[in-house]
Amino acid sequence: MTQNLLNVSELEISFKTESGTVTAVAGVSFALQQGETLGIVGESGCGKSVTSLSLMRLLPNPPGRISGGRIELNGRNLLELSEREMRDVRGNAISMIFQEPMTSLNPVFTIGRQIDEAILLHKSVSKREARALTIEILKKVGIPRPEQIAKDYPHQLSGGMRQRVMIAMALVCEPQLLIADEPTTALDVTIQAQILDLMDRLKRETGTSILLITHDLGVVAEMCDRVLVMYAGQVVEEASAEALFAEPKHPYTVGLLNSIPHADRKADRLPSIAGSVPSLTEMPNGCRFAPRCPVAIAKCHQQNPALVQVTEQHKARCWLAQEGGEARV
Amino acid sequence: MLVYIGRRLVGMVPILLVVAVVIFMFLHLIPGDPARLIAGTEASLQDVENVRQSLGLDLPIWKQFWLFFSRAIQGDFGMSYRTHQPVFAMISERFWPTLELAFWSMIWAIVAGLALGVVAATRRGKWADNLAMFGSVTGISMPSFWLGLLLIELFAVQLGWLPSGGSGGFKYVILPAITLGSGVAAVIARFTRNSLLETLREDYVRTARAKGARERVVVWSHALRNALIPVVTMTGLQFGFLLGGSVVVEAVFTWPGMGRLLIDAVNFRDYPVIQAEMLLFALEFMVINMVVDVLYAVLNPQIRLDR
Amino acid sequence: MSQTQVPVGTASVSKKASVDSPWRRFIRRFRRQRLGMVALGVVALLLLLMAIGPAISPFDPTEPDYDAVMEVPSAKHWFGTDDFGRDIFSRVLNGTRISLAVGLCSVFGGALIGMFFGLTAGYYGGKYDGLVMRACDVLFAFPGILLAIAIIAILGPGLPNVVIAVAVFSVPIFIRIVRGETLALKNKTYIEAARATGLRDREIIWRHLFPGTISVVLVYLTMRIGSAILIAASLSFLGMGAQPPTPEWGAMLSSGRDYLTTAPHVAMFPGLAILVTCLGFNLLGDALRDALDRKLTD
Repeated sequence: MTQNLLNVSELEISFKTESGTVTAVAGVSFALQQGETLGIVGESGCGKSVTSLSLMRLLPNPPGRISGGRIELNGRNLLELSEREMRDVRGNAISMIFQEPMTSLNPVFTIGRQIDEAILLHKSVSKREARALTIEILKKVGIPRPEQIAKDYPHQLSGGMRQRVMIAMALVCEPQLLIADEPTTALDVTIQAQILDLMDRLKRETGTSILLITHDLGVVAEMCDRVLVMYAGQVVEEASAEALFAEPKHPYTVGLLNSIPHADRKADRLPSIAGSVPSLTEMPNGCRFAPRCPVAIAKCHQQNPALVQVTEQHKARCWLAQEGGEARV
Repeated sequence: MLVYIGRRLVGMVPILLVVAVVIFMFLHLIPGDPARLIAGTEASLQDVENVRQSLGLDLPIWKQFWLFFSRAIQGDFGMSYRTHQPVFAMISERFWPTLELAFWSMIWAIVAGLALGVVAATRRGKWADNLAMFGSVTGISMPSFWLGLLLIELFAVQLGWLPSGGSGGFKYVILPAITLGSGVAAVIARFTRNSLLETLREDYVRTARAKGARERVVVWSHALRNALIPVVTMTGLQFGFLLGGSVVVEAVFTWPGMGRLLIDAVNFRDYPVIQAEMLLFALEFMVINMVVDVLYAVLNPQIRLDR
Repeated sequence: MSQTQVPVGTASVSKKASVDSPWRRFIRRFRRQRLGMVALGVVALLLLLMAIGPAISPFDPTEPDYDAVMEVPSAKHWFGTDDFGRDIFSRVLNGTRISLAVGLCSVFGGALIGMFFGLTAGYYGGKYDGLVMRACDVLFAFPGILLAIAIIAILGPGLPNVVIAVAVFSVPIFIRIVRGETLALKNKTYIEAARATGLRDREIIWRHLFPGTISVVLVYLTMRIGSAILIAASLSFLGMGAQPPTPEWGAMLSSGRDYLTTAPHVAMFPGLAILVTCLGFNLLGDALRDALDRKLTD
């Protein structure tokens, strides 16, 4: 068995709120191999963004806190590193791009200066060499006239261009892992496709692993090798992308899939999942999805199932799936 | 940029004109006959009439204003009622000391204010933050004349380190500058803290952290640079406060500036001096506001002045 | 980051929003601020002293006693005596009434005038609005205390004139705030609905816009009282306000400064009184602002 690049085990993240401490992410485990793209899918508030931030140890604290588990990169537990050691990891071994390209670049510095900074932090090169690398990476992410753009300020660029800049900044130090938190959500549809293509191409060229956080199953289908479905702070299903789309095992996944518009399926209206995500202060005792689940049985309301292997490619957190029952609605 | 400055200068003219009118009306707003006031209570009717004619007070009001205004532009504000010297000479001698005091006060206010504000913001909710913010509100509530007296008592009377008043070298300016600048420092500290807390929540700060930048760089370079944009505007407004406050502080430290001249002028009803001082203070204030606007644009690349 | 906090925020808000009126939320948020509660206590005590101070003062604040000149603080004279042998404690106590009266009158006066022009300028807009704003610009051209000094120069020294001067000084500030609030409110649907039902301008302003701006005005009012008291004391310190032997804090400080080396307590206590009073109003204003949870500039 090859060694995993990233191993996350039993990650627990809690938040302090007015009404006490709540657990936003409970016992999330997953692994990521070299060169693999793993998608984390879920509705907003399911804990996927919190999980991705905690991999970088960038969770705003307070109120957030990693209250348990391990995050191992090449076998080294990131949670045990000093802040100084962690700084060497950030932007170097692990990079991140965010949802909002409009606000993720510093408005008072030029594009070039911001990418230079990332280089100078992790490589011992002169400023001049850094700028040369900056221009090179800008060219690589498809920015026209990179010498000129490097001197521009973020507000002079479009959203798509800014996201390209963010990708350039993230990849300039050749990270082993790129975390992309909803990288295309804020962009126009045509630009979305371009950015996804760019990420895919760069991944092939550099062998970087990607952790893709999204709520969009279409993006997952296009990009990911494996998928993690999260609901209310827990992983409810984990499978290869093929298996997930072909044979979803968890009713929640089924619901998500049904709510994607299909060109070949005629329907008057898109089915949606009834109800809403339970608040973190009022988690149900049984399966967290049970109150909204169309096929829930009595057991579902009493006991939360564990995430178990159902087939070779597939894990699910569902009583029905474990008993070999059909999860299809 | 130059075009913008030019346009702002032109834009100042109407306000300055109105301010000049208001200041001119000054003499005519005072209850009673200005000529009688100037000549004094014991003057004969003939004396009063002479004063009226020599000062042009018998002319129609618009002509009087024109005379006042055209002379003011040339720096001629008439003669002081009190010392019978040209007002211009009296003020120009007092102008630089006031500017010097304001300058050092501002330096102190900016250094102390920024440091306190950053410390408070980066230790939000901790005792250092609470202490800094309580210090700040105390600074705002502190009467400057009292602070001045306390500083004199401590550093001049008890310790004997610094002079208690007057002017001379740099050591004379230290206590007045601290006194005058502390209130402004308090405001800057508060404002910097709040502005910095806001920018520290911005996405680009997270980006900087995700790059692996040190927290010090994140705060002092990425966040503070953005946080300063509103702080600059506010600091400019505070400069006006400082000019006003210098009147009080100059009185405490017997500093030979425009402020003390103004107090004497008000006490002696020396109207030409009051008029000239008010006009000059207003002008200074407007120029400062313009400089602040330009600085704002320099700090914020999203503003294009020449457009 | 906004995304990560969504679940937590919605969880707590959705639970409480249903039982909380804005007013109760305000009270709850205010009571959580310890410093604000202390400030409220200080202000309440000051208002009490304003009412009963002269009645409980142990000595006549203006009666000289040449046998007890410049005594240091003792059991008899808690704050010592001044150059005329007057009891400083009694003078500070009586000064509370003067300083608070000056501060309250000038700020309330300034706020009333400011609200009138701010509401009308914001509501009617157009040339009238432009005129009001230009007038503000002219008043703003005199920085800080200078406007007050200019007014004293016209009206002459004395406490009533100080009240007028400080009031005029506050007017443009209130005009700006109220006008801004009015502009924000004007386009709200309920104002348009009121207009559609044929309500007269005066009624819309009085019944709908005025209540909408009042909370912000109250916060500013509280914060301005502190600075009004400071400016009034400064004017008296400069000899332009209260005249001796009136027990006004600024004037007391002014006469006390001559004895700084020999009897520092003479200047000490009036200054402390000004500081505590301003601190009380400023902290109370801050707490009110935070409890109101509105973004207001300093």
